[in-house]
Amino acid sequence: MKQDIRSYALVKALALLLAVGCAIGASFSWIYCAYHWDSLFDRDTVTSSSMWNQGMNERYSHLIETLDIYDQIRRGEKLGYLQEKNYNSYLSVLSPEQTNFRYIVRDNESGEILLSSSGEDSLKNVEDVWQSLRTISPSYLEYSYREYYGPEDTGGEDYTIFYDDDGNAILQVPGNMSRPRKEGETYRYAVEYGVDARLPLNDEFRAAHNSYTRGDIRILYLAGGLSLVCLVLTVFLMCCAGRRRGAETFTLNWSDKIPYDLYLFCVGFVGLSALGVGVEWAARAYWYLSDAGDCFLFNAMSALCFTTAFGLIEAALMSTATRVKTHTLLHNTITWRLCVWCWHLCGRLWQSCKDFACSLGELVGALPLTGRVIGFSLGYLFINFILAYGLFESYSSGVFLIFLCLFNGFVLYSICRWTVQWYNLRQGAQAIVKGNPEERIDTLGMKLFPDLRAHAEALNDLGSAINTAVDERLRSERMKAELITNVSHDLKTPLTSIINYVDLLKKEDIQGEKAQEYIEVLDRKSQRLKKLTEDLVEASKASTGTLTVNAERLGMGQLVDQALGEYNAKFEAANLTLLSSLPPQELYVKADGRHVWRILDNLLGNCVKYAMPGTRVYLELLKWDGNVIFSLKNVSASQLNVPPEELMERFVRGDESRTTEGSGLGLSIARSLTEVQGGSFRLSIDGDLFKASVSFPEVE
Amino acid sequence: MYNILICDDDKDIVSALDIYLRAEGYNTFPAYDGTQALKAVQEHDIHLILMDVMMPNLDGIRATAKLRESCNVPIILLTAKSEDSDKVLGLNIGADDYVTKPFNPMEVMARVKSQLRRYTTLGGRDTGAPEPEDGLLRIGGIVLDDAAKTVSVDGEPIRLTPIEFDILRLFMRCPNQVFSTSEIYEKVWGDQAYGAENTVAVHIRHIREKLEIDPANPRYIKVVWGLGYKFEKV
Repeated sequence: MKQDIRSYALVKALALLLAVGCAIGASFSWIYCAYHWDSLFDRDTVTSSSMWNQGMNERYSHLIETLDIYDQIRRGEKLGYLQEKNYNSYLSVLSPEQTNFRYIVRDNESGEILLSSSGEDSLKNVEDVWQSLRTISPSYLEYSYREYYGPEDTGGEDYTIFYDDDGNAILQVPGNMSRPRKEGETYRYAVEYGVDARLPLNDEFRAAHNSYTRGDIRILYLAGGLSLVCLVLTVFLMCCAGRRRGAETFTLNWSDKIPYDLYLFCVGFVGLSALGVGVEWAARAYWYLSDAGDCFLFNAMSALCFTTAFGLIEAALMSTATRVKTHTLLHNTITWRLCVWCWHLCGRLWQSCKDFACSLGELVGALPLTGRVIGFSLGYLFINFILAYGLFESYSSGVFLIFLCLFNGFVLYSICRWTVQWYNLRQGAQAIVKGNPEERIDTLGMKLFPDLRAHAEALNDLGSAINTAVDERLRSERMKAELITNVSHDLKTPLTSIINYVDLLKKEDIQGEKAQEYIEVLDRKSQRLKKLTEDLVEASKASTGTLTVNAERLGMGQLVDQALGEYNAKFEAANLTLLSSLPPQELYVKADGRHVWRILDNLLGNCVKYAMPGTRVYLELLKWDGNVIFSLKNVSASQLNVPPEELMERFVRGDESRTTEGSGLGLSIARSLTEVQGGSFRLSIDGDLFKASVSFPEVE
Repeated sequence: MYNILICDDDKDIVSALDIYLRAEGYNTFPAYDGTQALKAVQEHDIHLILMDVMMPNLDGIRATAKLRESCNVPIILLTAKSEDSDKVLGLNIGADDYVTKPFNPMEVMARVKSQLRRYTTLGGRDTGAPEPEDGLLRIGGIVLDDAAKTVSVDGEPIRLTPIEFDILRLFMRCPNQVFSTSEIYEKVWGDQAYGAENTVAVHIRHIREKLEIDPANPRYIKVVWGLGYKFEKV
């Protein structure tokens, strides 16, 4: 591994410290932001902050309760002990020594001050004056109006005058206040209240003011920035995780070896608890406490909690990174180990089940076949009997019925499986019989039936053996054909010279009858040699199937016509009469015209060569059973003492002496060519009558 | 006096061909492989080349391809390879004719003559399309004069019977079209063909024997077995 900055322990430690520090700072900043959230964004006035309004509402409700009791006193009602206590405590709570809240309660009709924080001057310095008109009973109507005490630049004070139903002024209060009034209603008290703008006391209003003045959007930026730095450092630390100086691969430390789920659970539990406690204490320091000493204590406590929490979280992240890098994240867990253990247990169970089944199968297989069949039948009957007995005699007949159905269903299923596999076997055997020995029987489905399986494997072996033999034979045939082609090429060159020089000899004026006769023999034999080499190549190619066949739709009548046109003169020369019978309509086959011509050429050529002169040759073309059959009959000049099958072998000729011309390959070539094109070739000999027939399937 | 280059690695074949060609009055040059052949063509004014295919150093196919880069002298390939694919390869590479070994010397002489006539007297003129203007039909080396009722092959007049002449005219008017025997019968005899197709085949064989150098391997009137006959435009 490259020695880079990521493997230095000091760098890592510094980064860790920095990350934790940033995280703590970010936490405090975030908590601060959360508590001054309103003032962060809504910076209109301090009085619009929720904290301020909450305090205002609370004090006002105290004031109203005080006023209720005061009203009772005023009407001369006797107060209960508790009421009196409450009255006094409310008055003290609302006193200027306790709160910055200020109030004046006046009589609505006389304007006389009834209750106040500090007499006439109560509303001095109160910037934000709230006014309330109250009637205590019978209907609890109350109206509150908010007005500013009066603009300072006017130097004077605005007053709002309240009038009664008759239009008499009943109360003049400072402030520009309109008088909402409903029909038939009377107000008994006018309440004015507000907060001393100087905030001499340390109460909730001052706290709200402090919060308002401290609320700064920059704190939010600080929080975001610190979080970002912390994130970047964390990513860096995760990159560093597992690297050691001088180590080639990633190294696991002791904490990385603890199972991950356990580790995560412990760290999560402790870390998240610490985080929660830290947040709680930090919040307390902001909200509940005003004492600086306590505040410091709580902040310190929460800082400690944060350190623990973030330290643990960073460590957990680094450990996770290391585990991912060493691919031990999943494997080093208790859950994984448990799963693996379970898996092994299942595997062993399965294996022992299989072993048991195998040994059972072997035991059964050792029995003779008849014994097995009898055993199975008896077992089947016995189980059926038991189940049927249970069905009729037991109380829980439903269960037995289900078992009976399941058992018989299983037996039926097995029999069907056996039948299907047996059918497959038969198909495989038929494929081999039909000449596809490479087809294999699938023995995968035969696991349950070892007898069938053994048989299928034997058939497969047989098939592949046949296949190999056929391949071997084809290859040797092809090699033979190649050899023949090469040899005939090599023969052709000297043969050319022989033919040419014999021809030249013929032209030389050589004296002597004998010499002329010898030259004649040489000429004849060299011509035969030429024919022989040509036929040899063709025969080997046709019999090995290396011939190309361009099959197309041919008119057989047309072809026979053309062939007869070629042979007409030769028949006349051989003193043979050709009697042909062609159908009036054209018969079509699918074959290569040149090869079919070659077949006819050989057959007609044979007639010319071997037919008895002066006889008739019968040629027939007909349609029979979906085939187009061409047949040729002639009387052989010499005795045919060879069976027709042998005549089609190479180098076999009707005359054993082999004096006549011809290679002895003609019929062999004709047969091979016919078979290559999907037709059939037949010869029959009846005394001296020689009959050849070629048939091809008819096409439309 | 034409100069003929004989190129074969078998010296006996070269000398045999030499004897035949000299007997016909040609001047011959021997070569025993492809490189010698190329050299001889550069040194002498050769009018025709007889070339073997399988030869040492440079085989006949490559030599032909090389020669075709610079000159259009007729080349007849002589070879022991008789497969169709070999013939197609040889003719495609630029050879003018293809004779398989063992060959008949008379046939080779006839082909030599034919190629020389076409190369020298008939030149490189494209005589593919029928020209009805002067009443002459020209395809390959065959010229048919409908007015004078004469036919000549490579400049040599041949004799045809009137039926044969009509059949040939039918073919030459529509080269490359396959005619079945009954079609030919109906068009030439002007009668319904009832079992007379055999006659057509015989006539066509006769025409071929007169027209072709090797009637078994015709160049012009080809048998399309099972379909009919066609006159192939070379």
